[in-house]
Amino acid sequence: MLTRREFLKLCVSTAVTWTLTDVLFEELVKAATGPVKPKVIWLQASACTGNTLSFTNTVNPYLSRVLLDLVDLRYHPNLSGVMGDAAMRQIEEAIAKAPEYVVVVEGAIPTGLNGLFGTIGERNGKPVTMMQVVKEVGERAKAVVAIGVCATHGGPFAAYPNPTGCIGVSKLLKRPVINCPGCPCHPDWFVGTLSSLLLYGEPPDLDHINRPRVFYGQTVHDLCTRRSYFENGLYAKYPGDFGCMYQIGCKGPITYADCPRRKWNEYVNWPVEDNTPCIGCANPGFPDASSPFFAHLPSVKAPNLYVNANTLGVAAGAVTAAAIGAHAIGQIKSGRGFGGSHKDKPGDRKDGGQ
Amino acid sequence: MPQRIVVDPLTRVEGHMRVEVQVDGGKVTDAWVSSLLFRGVEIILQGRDPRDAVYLTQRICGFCPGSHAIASAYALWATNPVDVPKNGQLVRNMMLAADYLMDHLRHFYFLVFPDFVKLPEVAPFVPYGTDDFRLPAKENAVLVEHYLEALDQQRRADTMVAVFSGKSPHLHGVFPGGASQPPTADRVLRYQAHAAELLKFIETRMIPDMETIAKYYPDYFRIGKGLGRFLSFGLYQKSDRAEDRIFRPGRVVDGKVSFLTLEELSNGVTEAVDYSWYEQREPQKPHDERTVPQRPKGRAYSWAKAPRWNGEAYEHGPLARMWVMGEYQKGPSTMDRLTARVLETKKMAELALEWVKEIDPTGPHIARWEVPDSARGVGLVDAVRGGLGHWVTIEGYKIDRYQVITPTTWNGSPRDAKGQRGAIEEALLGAPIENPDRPVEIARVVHSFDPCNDCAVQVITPDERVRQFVI
Repeated sequence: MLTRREFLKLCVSTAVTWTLTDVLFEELVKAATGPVKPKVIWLQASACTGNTLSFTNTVNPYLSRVLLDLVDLRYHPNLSGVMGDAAMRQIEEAIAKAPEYVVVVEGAIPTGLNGLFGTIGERNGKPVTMMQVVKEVGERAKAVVAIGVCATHGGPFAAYPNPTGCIGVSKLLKRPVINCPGCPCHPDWFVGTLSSLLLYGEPPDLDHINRPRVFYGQTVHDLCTRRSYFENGLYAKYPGDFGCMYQIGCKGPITYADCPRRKWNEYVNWPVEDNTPCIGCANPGFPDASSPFFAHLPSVKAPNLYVNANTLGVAAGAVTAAAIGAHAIGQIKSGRGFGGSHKDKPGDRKDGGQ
Repeated sequence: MPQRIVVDPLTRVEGHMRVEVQVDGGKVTDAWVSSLLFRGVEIILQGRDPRDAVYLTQRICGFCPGSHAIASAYALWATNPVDVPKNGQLVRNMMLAADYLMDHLRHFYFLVFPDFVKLPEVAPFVPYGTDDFRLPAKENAVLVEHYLEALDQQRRADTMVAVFSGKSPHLHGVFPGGASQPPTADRVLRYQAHAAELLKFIETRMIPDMETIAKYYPDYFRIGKGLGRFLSFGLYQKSDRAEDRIFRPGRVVDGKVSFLTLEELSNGVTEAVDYSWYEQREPQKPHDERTVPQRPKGRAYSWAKAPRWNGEAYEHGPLARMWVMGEYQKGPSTMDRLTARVLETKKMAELALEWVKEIDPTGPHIARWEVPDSARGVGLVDAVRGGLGHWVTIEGYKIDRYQVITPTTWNGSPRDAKGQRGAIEEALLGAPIENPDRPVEIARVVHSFDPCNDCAVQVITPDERVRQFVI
């Protein structure tokens, strides 16, 4: 059995040289398939199913092994055989025996209309809201994992003006929730977190907003494969240009995720390598805190032209995080729209330099 | 004595769906299909930078983000046309074809298989949704093996998308002026390798699997007939002329095909809310729609609205496209819908491999596109489940209004003022119900449409009223 420390080391290096599958999976299966496989229930709230699909893209290990060998997935709205009342019975069972379950929640929780913007099924002929079910099963469950930025912090459907009153799961429940943000969440981030839970009974080390540090510990900017372009001032002027995406809106400096190192979909590509800016989809404030996606972060007034590029990078991160938090969101909330006056042409923002 | 059966949740669809049927003499005599999730993406889009729409509208649906990205890019392009390089069209089409492959494979194996094939006796496949499994043990075992293969093969399609889009689901890389990723040889080869593997899988697994299912469930060639009227917006644009598409836009009535222009299609669309949870009003055209949520509301039963073309309800999807193209003209029925989808999957893989040869690895792939001060644009494209329309109005370089009508709004539509049912409701009529406690027949008919309720419910609302309403 691997020590927890060795396990975390593997998680970091998964995409680089190792595969989690070869080294770890046999251990995981041994641990997981003791007398009983761990029970998991997957609930979908206000979602797009994108996190389910991203999860099915898992290659470390492959999906068939996760489903058949690793977990006892008692209910998943897209994979389960049952429907109607029989599906509700699976959910009711999870509520009754919540402490035995790991609950995965995909999607934000709509609280408007007392939850009626999203219902999950029926109980005695009455609709049951997503809000109700996530509360009933989540509050007493063994662990709750929020997958995707909707479930962690509200995400796109909680964006201004938040028409359905969407909130993240941790705001709904009075208990710790393990947050795996991203739009969608990378399959490794989720499967790695779940594996740790099953193997060691606890998630990987979490940061101040309960994200596993091993995946969300550094900024995209710090890990960026085009970092040297930033430092050498080779900036793309338009999506599709090769170079650093900073000037056309890259949110890498304020986004904590390991996309540049890990890459997506069998590790073939990632947004900056696609010649487009990072849109900060793993940020708690996504999308409002990072839109307009193609408008660059507010500028940093460098004391002189030859400022150390590293310093500029660090400063940009700190200053823009604060600026975006206070300034941009303030504008959005006051209904004044985004980035400057109503008639400003996108890309011509006067408040931004380079 | 008529009996009411409610299936809620109807699982293995995207989003949240409820179906209620009235059964008399063992057959469905009436049906009501409800979409149960409202998110208001179009409200969220108001006032934003138009360029963000390509990304934000994808969040409507994780199953077909590529289709939303393309529709949005077309709509924005129409507000300020530029010359899109040939590579740009090709790469966008290649992403869309891969999106189709991903979606069709997942639909057939994840969502449809459990209705017909007895999968391994482990969760999440058990408890089963039915006892009516008809495949002999030997054949069932073969299909189970294929299902398990499919679990690990389907990811290839998303990888094909990501080769050009950075990641999938939820793509980067699609722009009104083309595609941001240059189709370099290494990328094209990787795309090609996955496409070739998938084509092999489709030919040796998916199509034979479909034949096996059809062989043992022949009654479903008679169940789930539906409206018999089809509409397709076409797809795979080859040039900047919107009608220049490999799949042509058109409609089918009484088995006869007529081709349509995109303008005719767009101009004929209206949406009614008589049975939807929105404040009552007359049917409106997408560019002009103003709708306010209202639940409860008397006879309303769905968050989906009722889109109509020239006042009539239509069915959308692979059968519609294949019929218009003259490639599959049987049915309509539950099994014909499934068959058309499987055959289309093969066609998409073949097209993907065809385009690989047309790519010019050194040619331009994107044209610079700027947001206009004020303009209107329409982007129509057949998404995986059928016609998808994005209607955008730009004022002062910002989105003034954005309206999305998705295929499942058409297929899963509730009634309109005339009492006209939506396509799925109509298809349920006449379906035999063997066991009212486990009405698998309903699931089979509904799943043949591949409904996506994530997509079905989008609505635009004057924002001051929303605030008043929601909080």
